[in-house]
Amino acid sequence: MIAIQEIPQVNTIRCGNRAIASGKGIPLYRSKRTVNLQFGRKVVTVCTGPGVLSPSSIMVDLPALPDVEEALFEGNIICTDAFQVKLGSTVDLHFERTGKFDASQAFRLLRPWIKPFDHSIVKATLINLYDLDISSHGPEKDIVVKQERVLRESGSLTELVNDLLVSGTG
Amino acid sequence: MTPSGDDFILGIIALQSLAGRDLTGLHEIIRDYENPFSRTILEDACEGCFSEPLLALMTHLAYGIACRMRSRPFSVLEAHLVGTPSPVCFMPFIMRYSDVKTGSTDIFCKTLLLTMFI
Repeated sequence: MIAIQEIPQVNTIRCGNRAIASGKGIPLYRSKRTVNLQFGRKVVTVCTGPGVLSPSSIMVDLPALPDVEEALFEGNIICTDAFQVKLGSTVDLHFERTGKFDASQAFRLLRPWIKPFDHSIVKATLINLYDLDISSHGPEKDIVVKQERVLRESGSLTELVNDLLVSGTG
Repeated sequence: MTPSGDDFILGIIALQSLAGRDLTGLHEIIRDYENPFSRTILEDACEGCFSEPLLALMTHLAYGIACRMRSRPFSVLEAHLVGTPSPVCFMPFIMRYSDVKTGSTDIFCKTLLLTMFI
């Protein structure tokens, strides 16, 4: 049981707009800068700043995070056995779409970042789109073949995502 | 890319959000995803919420303008960050679902193929 009154309070720097949960939590992953706390189906990430803020993360004013073994999310407070954090004002990380997306322009903008990484999905996609005989070896060959089949056989985007999640390709 | 392909899926969701497409089906699938950390990121994305670097990129791609977020628009493409998709994730789906398979895209893909894979 966590004795709240004895636990030091940590200041919040920034909070994502979906960093809300409730009930008891357990740490999933921990480093000096990050701890992922699972509350039921939800994972809230507590991290030290500065860094990347995600919708379900809370950035706190600490140089390093202490060990955490248990946590409780009650109201707008996360109380752990090592520190407690009160959620501050949230940053709205919601994407607002108001115009028409220009895919051609997006492609042109992204093009400089396509580098010769040996990504199996690129190979699978190029095989799928252009039916070309692209070389791959070893374990990667099996993955490329599987990914290409998923791309080819999926009848819809939903089906494609479902197949990729099930097959665990990446 | 991650073993479970969650960054790939995140790229799909981001692109579908950019294109204004219905994400209802994806939400139902992601609900059953066993990895709670990845599931949280993907469910946030299905609700239209993304990490700062990805949101900055999406806003830039959508409007060609700088985002009010702290991230530079292309920072997500310059380093692999937790919870952000590989840039390569966007490519297949821009090509496949946005009807830009012709012209420079086509030439680019073949050049890519010649210089990288053969």
